[in-house]
Amino acid sequence: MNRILFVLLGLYVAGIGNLLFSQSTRSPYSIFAEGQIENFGTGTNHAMGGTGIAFQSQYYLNNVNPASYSGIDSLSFLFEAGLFGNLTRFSTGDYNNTHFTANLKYLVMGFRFNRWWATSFGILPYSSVGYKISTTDIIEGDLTTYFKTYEGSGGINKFFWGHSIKPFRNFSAGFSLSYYLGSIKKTETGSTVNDYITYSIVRTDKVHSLNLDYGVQYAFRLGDYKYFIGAIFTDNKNMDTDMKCTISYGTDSVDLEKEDVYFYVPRKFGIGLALENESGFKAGLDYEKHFWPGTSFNNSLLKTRDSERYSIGLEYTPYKRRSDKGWKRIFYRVGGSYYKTYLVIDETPVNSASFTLGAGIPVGKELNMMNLSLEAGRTGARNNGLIREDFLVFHVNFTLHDTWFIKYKFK
Amino acid sequence: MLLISICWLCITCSDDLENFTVGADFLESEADLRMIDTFNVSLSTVLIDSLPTSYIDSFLVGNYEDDVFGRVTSNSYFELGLPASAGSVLDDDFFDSITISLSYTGYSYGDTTREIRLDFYRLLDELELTESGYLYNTSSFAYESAPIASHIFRPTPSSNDSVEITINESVGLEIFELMQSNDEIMESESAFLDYFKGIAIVADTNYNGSIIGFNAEEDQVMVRIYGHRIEETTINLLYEFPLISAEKQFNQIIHKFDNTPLERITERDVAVPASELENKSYSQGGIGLMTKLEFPTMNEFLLYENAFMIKAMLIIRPARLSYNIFDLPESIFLYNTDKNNTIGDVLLDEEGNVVTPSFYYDEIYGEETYYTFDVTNFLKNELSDNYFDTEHGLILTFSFEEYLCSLKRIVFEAEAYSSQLKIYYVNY
Repeated sequence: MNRILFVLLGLYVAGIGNLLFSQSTRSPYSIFAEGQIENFGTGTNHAMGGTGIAFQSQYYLNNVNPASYSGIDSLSFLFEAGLFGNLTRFSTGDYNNTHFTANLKYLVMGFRFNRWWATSFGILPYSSVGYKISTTDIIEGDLTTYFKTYEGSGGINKFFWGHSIKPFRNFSAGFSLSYYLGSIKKTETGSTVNDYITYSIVRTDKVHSLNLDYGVQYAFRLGDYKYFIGAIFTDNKNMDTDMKCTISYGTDSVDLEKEDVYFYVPRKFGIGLALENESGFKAGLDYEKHFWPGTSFNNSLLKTRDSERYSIGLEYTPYKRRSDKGWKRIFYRVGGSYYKTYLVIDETPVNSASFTLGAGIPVGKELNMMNLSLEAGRTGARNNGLIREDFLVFHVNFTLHDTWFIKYKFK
Repeated sequence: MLLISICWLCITCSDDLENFTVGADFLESEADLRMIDTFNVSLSTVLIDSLPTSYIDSFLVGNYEDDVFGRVTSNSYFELGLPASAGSVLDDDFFDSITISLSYTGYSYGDTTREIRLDFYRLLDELELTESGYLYNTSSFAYESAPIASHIFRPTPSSNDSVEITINESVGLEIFELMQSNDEIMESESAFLDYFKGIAIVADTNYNGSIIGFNAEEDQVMVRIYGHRIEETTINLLYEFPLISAEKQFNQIIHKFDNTPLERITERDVAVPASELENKSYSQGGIGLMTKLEFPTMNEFLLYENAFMIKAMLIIRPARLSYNIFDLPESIFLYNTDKNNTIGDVLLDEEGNVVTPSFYYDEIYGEETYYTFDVTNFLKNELSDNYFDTEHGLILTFSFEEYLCSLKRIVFEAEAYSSQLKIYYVNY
């Protein structure tokens, strides 16, 4: 326990500030609204294409479905932290750019209170904005060129406290109270040659909102396999926003009246199927749909559509008993996903597909795991003036266990 | 600890933001930069009431005439003091001559290849400062009708030399005899001043040449009486009467606009629009001509919704061919003014520095010769109360020193679009 506290403290010092309000992403697609919507899963989910609606939390915390917490081992205190490194190559017909970002993405803890009630809480990214785009424009009336730079940063985080109850042997239900909190800062800078004229417009949208996520899971056995069915639901919510837009030049600055931008948590539902057997094989299949209204995002190019996400994940481990060593202790994972995002830009929908390979490597004596995964994928396309993002995401996740309750009892 | 280190590493490396062009097509700008230059800049010329021209330590004397600014004549007045050894003249000493010596400052206005004539008169009235403590270009004091000296010469202002001019002997002899007789007049400066009230250097308007600067610092200007004494050998005697009370030395600068466009200017302190002055405006030091700028349509900017002024540049063009002979100043200044055309504070920028122009000189065609001033601060302040007071204008003139101590001149073009106000604003 002391070790976990120590690590927690370290993480707070090292990265919590960064985590809270500056999710680091880098994508021109994040210029719209709340930016890129993140996947809630932790490292194990990620290695399996983000799949997790029907998976139970057992040796890790599965935040995709709050009903899953009932699967937490009764004596464990679980702690998850994830780091991402993202290498993306952006390309249009004419240009290429490559960018690397990395940051701490989530901190999650969970444990079981008793036989029927388990809980999990932490911080996850909900969405993130990150771009810096330079372009030129013409001064109307003067016909000279000036430089414009658009920068966006920030994002929305989700502070959640989830509960799972297990009223019957094979059924669990959960909900998660979420507080969305974030700040999205968009800066537009104009400057002429030699900085003869420079100005900047900084728009900050502070966003906050309470919302609930729900989930259920049901398990049954059929032959050699154990099957799981899961479903999740989140109702839509307009987030409360607090906008401030300031133009400044030299020492002068003026607050501008601007229209509010819509920040929206869409209604979401998802179903998942999973199966596992005694020989260490596990598989899952998820489908999610997010209902986006025809929202105005202050951008005539953008329309929204209902987004859909399909994912599949497989896991195999030869690990059977504690005496197993070396390769036999590793969890091998593979996954894939296809995501029809909510963005339709200039009549062209933006889709994303990825393929993931991963491994869970036990560390130390207890059930501490280091989960590594490498996701390769593509978002968007180069046709119709869009951008293709070819990305490689390296994800390192630590799942730390502590047999908290045993120690507590024996002291 | 490893975990913490990795966190640090990652957080650090995600901070770099390099430039990026991909994605520009999706962006919808919050604002764009625009420029408008259709606000009127109206030019007029003001002949100000008077300029303080005393205590500037220089005589401006001479006469110059051309068909743009007309005739400008500058005269100078000053007082003389006593020599240190006034009481040492003996009865047997002989008077030889009396001269006045003037040394060039290097300044000239006009054509120095031509002769000028300066006449020196003995003042009838003592110089007396006005209540303000100054004497002005319009001040005047009576002098005798006959000059005590006259000099016709071709000035060499850049020679660093001096001119010594002979004064009528009778004046010198009279003073010499007063010294010989140890007259009371020679015992105190006030008594001497009562007797010899000073000198006026008056330029002859029949000579169209130049106006020349001479040093007028105390002890730099001397009236010299030369004499000699015969003992075993001949001893030369020299008595130097210096310029005193430099605060009372002043230049009287007289203009005559007849047969020039400036003829229309008959009243002082009144702004005469460029339309009455052949579409030009005029500034000249010494006589007190200034260009006034007004922005009569500036309130229209307030009709621009969602506009945020970023920069305002004032472009002013000297009239073509107006600076062939007379060099354009590198620097000119803007002063606040009002409907009464009084000169207020010099224009300052946002940081409190004096606004100075950028000067562009088109040597070949003369078409792109202009001054640009950053008048952002002026316009923003004036517009800050959502009303532009069109009576709040600007006076465009030289530095105070050039304005008071020289005859520097400039003609500005006032044809449509020659003077412009370029306002860069963000439309949001």
